[in-house]
Amino acid sequence: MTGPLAERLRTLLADATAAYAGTPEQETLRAMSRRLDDPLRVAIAGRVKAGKSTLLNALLGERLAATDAGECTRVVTWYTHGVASRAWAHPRGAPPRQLPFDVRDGQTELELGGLRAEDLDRLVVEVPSARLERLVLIDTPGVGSLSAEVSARTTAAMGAAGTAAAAEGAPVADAVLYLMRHLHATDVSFLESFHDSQFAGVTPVNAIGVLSRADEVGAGRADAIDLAGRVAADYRRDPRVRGLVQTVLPVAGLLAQAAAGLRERDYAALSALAGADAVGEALVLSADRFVAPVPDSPVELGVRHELLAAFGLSGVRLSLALIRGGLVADSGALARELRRRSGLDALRGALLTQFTERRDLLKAQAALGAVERVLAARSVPGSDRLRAQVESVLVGAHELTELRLLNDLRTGVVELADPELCEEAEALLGIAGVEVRSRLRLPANAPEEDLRPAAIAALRRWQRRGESPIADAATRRAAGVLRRTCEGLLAATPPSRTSVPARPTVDLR
Amino acid sequence: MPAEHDPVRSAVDALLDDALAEVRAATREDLVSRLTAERDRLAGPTCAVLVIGEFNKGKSSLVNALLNARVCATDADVATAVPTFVRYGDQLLAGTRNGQHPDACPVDPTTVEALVTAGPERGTGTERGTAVAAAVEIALPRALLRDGLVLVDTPGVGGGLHSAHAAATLRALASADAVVFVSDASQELTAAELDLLRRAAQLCPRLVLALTKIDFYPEWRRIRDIDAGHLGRAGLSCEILPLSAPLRHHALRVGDRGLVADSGFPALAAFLRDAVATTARSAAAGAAAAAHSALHQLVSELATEHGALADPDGQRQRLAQWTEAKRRAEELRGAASRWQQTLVDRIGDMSSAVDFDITTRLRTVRRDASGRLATTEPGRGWVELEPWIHQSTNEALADHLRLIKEQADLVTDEVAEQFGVAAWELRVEADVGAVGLNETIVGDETGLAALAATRASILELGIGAMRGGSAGVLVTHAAGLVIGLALPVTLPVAALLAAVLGRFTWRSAKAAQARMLRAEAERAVAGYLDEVEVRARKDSRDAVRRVNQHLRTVFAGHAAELHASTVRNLEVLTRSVRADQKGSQQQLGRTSDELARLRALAARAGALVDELLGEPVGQPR
Repeated sequence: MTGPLAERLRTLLADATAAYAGTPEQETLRAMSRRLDDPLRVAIAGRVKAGKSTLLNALLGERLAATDAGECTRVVTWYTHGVASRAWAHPRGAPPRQLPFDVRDGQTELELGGLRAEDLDRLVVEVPSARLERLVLIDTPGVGSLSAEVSARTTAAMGAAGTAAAAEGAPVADAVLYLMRHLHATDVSFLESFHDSQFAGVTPVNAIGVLSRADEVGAGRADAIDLAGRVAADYRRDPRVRGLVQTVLPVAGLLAQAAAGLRERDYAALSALAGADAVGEALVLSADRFVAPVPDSPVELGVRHELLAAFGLSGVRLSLALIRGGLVADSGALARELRRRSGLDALRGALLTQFTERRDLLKAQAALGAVERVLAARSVPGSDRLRAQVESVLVGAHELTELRLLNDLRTGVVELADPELCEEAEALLGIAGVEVRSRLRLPANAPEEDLRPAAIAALRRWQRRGESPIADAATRRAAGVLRRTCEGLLAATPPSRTSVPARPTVDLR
Repeated sequence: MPAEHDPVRSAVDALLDDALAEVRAATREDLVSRLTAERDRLAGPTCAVLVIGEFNKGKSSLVNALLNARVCATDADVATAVPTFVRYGDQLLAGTRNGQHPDACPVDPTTVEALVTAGPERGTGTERGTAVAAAVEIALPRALLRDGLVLVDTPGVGGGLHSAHAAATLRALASADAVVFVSDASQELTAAELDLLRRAAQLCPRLVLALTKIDFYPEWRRIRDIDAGHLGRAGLSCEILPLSAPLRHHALRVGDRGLVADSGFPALAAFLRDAVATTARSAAAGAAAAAHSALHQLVSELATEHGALADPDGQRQRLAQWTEAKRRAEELRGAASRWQQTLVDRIGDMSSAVDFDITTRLRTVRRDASGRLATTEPGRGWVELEPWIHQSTNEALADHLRLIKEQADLVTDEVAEQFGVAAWELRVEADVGAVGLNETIVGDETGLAALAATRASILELGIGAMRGGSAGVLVTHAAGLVIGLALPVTLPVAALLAAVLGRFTWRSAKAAQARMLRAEAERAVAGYLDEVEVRARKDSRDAVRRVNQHLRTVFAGHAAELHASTVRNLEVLTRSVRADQKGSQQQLGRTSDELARLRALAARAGALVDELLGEPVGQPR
């Protein structure tokens, strides 16, 4: 992490570490300093069987995490970049141990050996994947498990209020992908538990909701994915959800995974089925029938098993429909279609704009949060000075102020009278992306010359609103921050020859 | 409508008709009205089966597939928001219910889907809050529904965007005759589901787990086995039925029997028919027992006459016995009788227990609510508070209802015992021969005989071995204990609560304003809980009163019958004293024949009752 913000943060952390010398909080602060330069940590959390491990595999493009019909992930597992494929077990209170693993049928399997899940703090898997160069993905056990202890490991790791991690002051992750199949009370209370404390790790800024297993919505309906899109849109509008996550995106992890691993022979088999009419119809009636021994099937039993396992019944039906409808002519086209419909690309885009591009800010937010938490937990000589330092860092970094206002707007701490106003404010603050066009709500291909006028117009609007006599405190605060944001945008957009001047010229002739 | 194919039921119907003919002939008007009432009751039994489960697990699809009709809305993005009652009707009819009117208002069947998914009004103004119905009723011509089955599709429990009203499902469980708990094959049972299952099983032991969507999930067998393990560990022993609604629809469309079997629905239909049959059986047992008791009274009259004719010397002794019996019968009717005393005392106990229970439970809810208000940040945190309050109050009221039922059980059992013992003593005193149903019990086995007498009198109440075989259960059923059960609590003050708590957008986080808002919220919550308490207390007191009235009416009726019997027997005795010698020979012959015939009829009744009760119908007490 570089830049003036980084410098100030490092100084702050160094001062704080010195001030808290001899206390347990010192270790927290030291760890936070080290983390500033680490890649962004994104946790994938959600209820049991929400599809976390499948999504992780889809994001990475290979089947690293084990997935299974029954409950599977039992230990928090980190996936990070390494020069070679290795796996480490970190038992509690003992040094890390390397674990053997092998790859069977494309699926990686870890051998825990004599170690038990309960004794492990976490597992770390190093993979030479380009995708992990800027991100660490953390797969977690599901919450709401019948084995409460398993779920507790996730809540503890994520730093929910009242757990050890919260006491230590640092949740494990910088950002969260929260998966849900449909909004459940457990989901809301899980997410809320990270909101309890003022300096919590999970906010609408660093959390994205994922409506997972989108291909299963409606249990096998042909328009499952469209339906999932509508459900996600509903959730996006719900006030409770808006206060917890930035947006909700529908994703069918299995489809994405299948698309990534699509082979020629899969395509050949699917084509054969598509052409088989009556037999094909009968086969896709149910999962059992698809893998039943049928005398005149164009595709043999073993291959059908593989197809079902890789694509799911929904994926098979979708592929057959695409082939029959003439929408895809070869395996490449099928893979692309499946990938597109799976929603993975949209998710990757959100990950990029929301998390990766904001990496420094999210890290800064996490670090400041840690310091604030420590200051609140224990007072030492020099606390006041440290608080003043925190304040100055905040004031000095406009981007952090933007994040805070964004959080407050979303969670209702600050209310602007008009929802239109709210949307404009959120966009300007960068909820959909830090890039100029996203902030000004212009399309991605908007020409350069449109940027400056839009920025000027926005600046004028917020100046007016802030100076209006009927403006309330909330509006004034928002206007103040947004004016500065617009000024920053103006500074970033070069004036073109045809841009509108700031003041109308008077023709004196 | 009676099940024509059931031979036992037809036998009971025939028995009732015969018994009615006999009592009419004997001009026992009191017995005539009792038996007529029994026959009417038999004609229209209902068996309510609740379909419950978490949000989006396939409940509505299950009901639709079972009935081969689209009566319930099943889209994933619209949730069932009000309960839907489906019963038999000769033609398709739909109606809505809300708390104010007891009858359903008819509506156009095509608008049902909109009503069901719209849901009752919510103060926070979600897009769907526009309907006025608290429940929807549908009548459909389907063979499955013909014998009195009522299917109830409920809103999903456990969260989602409509959690507040879904919580009312819990309270409906108390009056269900059977429950179908729905979970799908996409994953094993979660902690929340198992919790709900346990609660359901406590309120209604006849329960089955339906595992839906097996057509879609290849690993459904593993899930079934894992679920079976979870159930076993939780101490629940219900069956698991794997089902697929799409397969069934398809199978019915193309007429493929193999597919129908694969869909799993035949097994579900069998469970439902079994539930209906058992409910009907207990009703039939009660009717048969009533017939038996009526016939026995006729038998005792004839036996007295016969005895008087055959053995004129024992006249004085018989007169003495029956006079004594009449005295006992008067005592039984009197306010000083033991059973009445017991009733008064136990109802008093029940009243206090019930009052205390509702106070304690709601106090806990209040305390928890205050705690939450105090500790959560205003704004966002409070939006979640409203559904939580609804859930908590509904859970508290559901548990309270269970207490009422348990108490009603206790009261009924004790009173029945007291009455039974007194009635038995009366009969023994009159030396009528066998008492109760078991003809082989001899006089000196007093304990067993008393037990049989108690059982007999319980049966005479029209209560059979139902749902655990406990007497109180059917009393509460018959007494119509409905504490706003199937209809959700839609108090006007709830809207106010929602408005205050839902107003999560507010001006600023300044301390003073926070305090004010907190105070306002506390007032709204307190107001709501007060209203809930007032309603609940009234309902509870009504329930206690109804139990009291019902028991009193029923047992007083029996006491009156017994008294009438003793009076008539005395009349017979006095009459036969005056008969002359020759006439009495002929009379004796006639009486013997009559007696034999009536005894045979009574034996038939007794055998039927034994048969109906001898079937395993729920757990023994």
